[in-house]
Amino acid sequence: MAVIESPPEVATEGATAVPDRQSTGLAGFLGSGDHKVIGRAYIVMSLVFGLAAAVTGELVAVERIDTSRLNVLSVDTQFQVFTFHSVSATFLFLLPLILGLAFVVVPLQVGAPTIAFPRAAAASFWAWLISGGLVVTSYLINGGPQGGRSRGVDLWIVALAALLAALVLGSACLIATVLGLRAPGMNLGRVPMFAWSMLVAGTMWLLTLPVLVGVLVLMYEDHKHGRVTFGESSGMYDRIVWAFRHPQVYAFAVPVLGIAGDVLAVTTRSRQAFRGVAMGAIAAFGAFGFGAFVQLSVYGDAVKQPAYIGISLLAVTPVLLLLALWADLFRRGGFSFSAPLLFAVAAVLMLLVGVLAGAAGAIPALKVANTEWDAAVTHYATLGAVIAVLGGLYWWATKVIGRPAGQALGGFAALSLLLGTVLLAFPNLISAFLRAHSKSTKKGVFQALAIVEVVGGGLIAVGVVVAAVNLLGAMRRRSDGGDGRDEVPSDPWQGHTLEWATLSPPPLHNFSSLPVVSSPEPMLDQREEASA
Amino acid sequence: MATAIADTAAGHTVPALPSAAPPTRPRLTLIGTALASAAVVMMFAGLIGVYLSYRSESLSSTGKWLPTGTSIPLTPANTAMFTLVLSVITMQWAVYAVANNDRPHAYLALGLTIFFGLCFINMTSFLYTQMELGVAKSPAGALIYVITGAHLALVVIALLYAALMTFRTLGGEYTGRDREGITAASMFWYVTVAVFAVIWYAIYVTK
Repeated sequence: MAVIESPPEVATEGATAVPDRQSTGLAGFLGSGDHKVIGRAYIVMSLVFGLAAAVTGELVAVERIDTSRLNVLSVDTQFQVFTFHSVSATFLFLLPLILGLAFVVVPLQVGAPTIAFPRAAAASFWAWLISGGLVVTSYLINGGPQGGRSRGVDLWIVALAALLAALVLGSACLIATVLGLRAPGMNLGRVPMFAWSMLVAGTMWLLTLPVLVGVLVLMYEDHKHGRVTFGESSGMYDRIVWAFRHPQVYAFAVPVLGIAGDVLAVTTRSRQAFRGVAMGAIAAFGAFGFGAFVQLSVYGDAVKQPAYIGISLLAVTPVLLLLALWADLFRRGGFSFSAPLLFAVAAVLMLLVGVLAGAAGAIPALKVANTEWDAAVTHYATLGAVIAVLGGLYWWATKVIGRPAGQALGGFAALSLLLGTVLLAFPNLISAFLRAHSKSTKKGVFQALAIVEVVGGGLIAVGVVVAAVNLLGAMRRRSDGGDGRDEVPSDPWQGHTLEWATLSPPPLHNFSSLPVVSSPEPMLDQREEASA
Repeated sequence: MATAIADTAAGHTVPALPSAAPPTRPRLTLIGTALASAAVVMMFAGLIGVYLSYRSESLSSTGKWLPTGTSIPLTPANTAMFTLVLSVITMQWAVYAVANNDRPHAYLALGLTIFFGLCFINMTSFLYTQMELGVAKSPAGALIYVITGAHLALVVIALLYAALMTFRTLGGEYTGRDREGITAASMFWYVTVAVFAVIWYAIYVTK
């Protein structure tokens, strides 16, 4: 066939198109496809939902104190409050908080002018926000698992499925950004650690959360028509609980390793040695976080299977390997204390304890599977991730909020979160072990452990609130350069990667020019060339 | 290219022009479609896993899975499977035609693919009328309708995607040098067919 049409020489850019000018005000926010605006919105709203998750978590912890005089919740609402805490802490707080930070930082790290599919990214935020509101509403009208109102239960299922779909959509935008919008010269081996960890984490979310959506679709259909397969709503939580226990929670904690990798390398002023090994370890940890097969309601013996035990034991290896590589960074370079460093160390420590506890819990001889032990592992891993992301907000504060954040209050928040996590999770390990192996333990011991948990939960809430208030307060603070102009350093940490090559806060299209990327640390290369 | 054709018609021979540089756009549509396909595959893997688990449990405890009086005729399911296999051929034909800047054949192939998709929807709805399986009477009914219904929804989405790419091809957006959109639509369609192949075997053949 004769060719009579001339194809365009330069392809159109529908998948990356963002307007040249940023609208301001409410209309600008509502219609924005700028990844930084969407990311900030994710962060702020996830912190709001996080407050609800923290309050319900404390209520659940208080209820565990066995006393006849202290009944905060009625028997009917206890389980709903517990499930709301699980769902909101994971899908309304942790994952969107991670996505929010990643939405702002990852495109900058890979040198992209925008996030891939900016309109889909905006849709993911709005869909998540609306469906998150509906999840809360469903609980308020006596819905949720074991809810008393049938329509409330149906609303909970639909809203949760939509919420998960929104998070998967956001993850897909991030993955596509790392795979398709990297700066010239940046092959996958040169991707910064946080961006790499988000590629791994996003992939695992993309592969596991749709399984949960499928289960929810089944639950909805069954609940609407006869309830012959899954029965009444009381068993619903058992069908989705795999998403809140290990190994699935490891997939939510992968960004801990990426944030720590970036923060530690810059703080110690060293290049990451054996970078490929470090990236492989992060990928392996993500792969071990595939927990969709641990569906106890369908296959009750899943925790006795070699796959589950093997994954739980092997998940320790990549974390230990990364610890060894990061210890080498400290050995080779000096370091100075900063809030992000404290956050990073605290997060990695909590994750390490979590995977060690997960490995121990998988050993059948210990007899702690499906007990409070699992709750402890979940708390260590997910709170490790919360600590890491808050640390990331301090580290990239000039990019996220446009101002550096106060270090002293940040350090206090990091220590409060570290102590709170230990006090919240460790008593669970002790009580699970005692219940399995010491039948003569007095009731008072468990009472005391439950009180310690309440204190731990309170410290975590204090840490998150202090960190959030400190960050929001920094937004209002001006840092004048003496001439009255607001000056924010583009690179306050002497960073290694591309996000430090642009202004703080970054302009609409992120970069006016990019340095040549010929290694994983282009900014460090540039400084070394300038000083040579 | 138009210049080369004109020169040849006038009796001159000119060397072929060097091929143009590849398009500057990153292949985001293809990446995004691959990610969506992966998510879809995992959702159906989970659904079919639950189905097989319940079926196995029911067979081992009661010796039967489908409720008494239910029959799932295999002929409509086989025809539906065969139709989708045909649609794979026409979809690949469309990709090949676009790669060769052969627009009439691309339109024909895409039109046939959409036609086969609509036939599949018709056949599945016919199968529903023949199954005599109540949705609220047994776990088998609930699971079968959810899985096949979700797949029907997937076929509709894949058809809309293919139709969108057809219109874009009609508009001249995709050519031999840049056929990302049509390739992405074809990939999603193949995934849709592959998912049905598993459903066809797990549900309709083994019953």
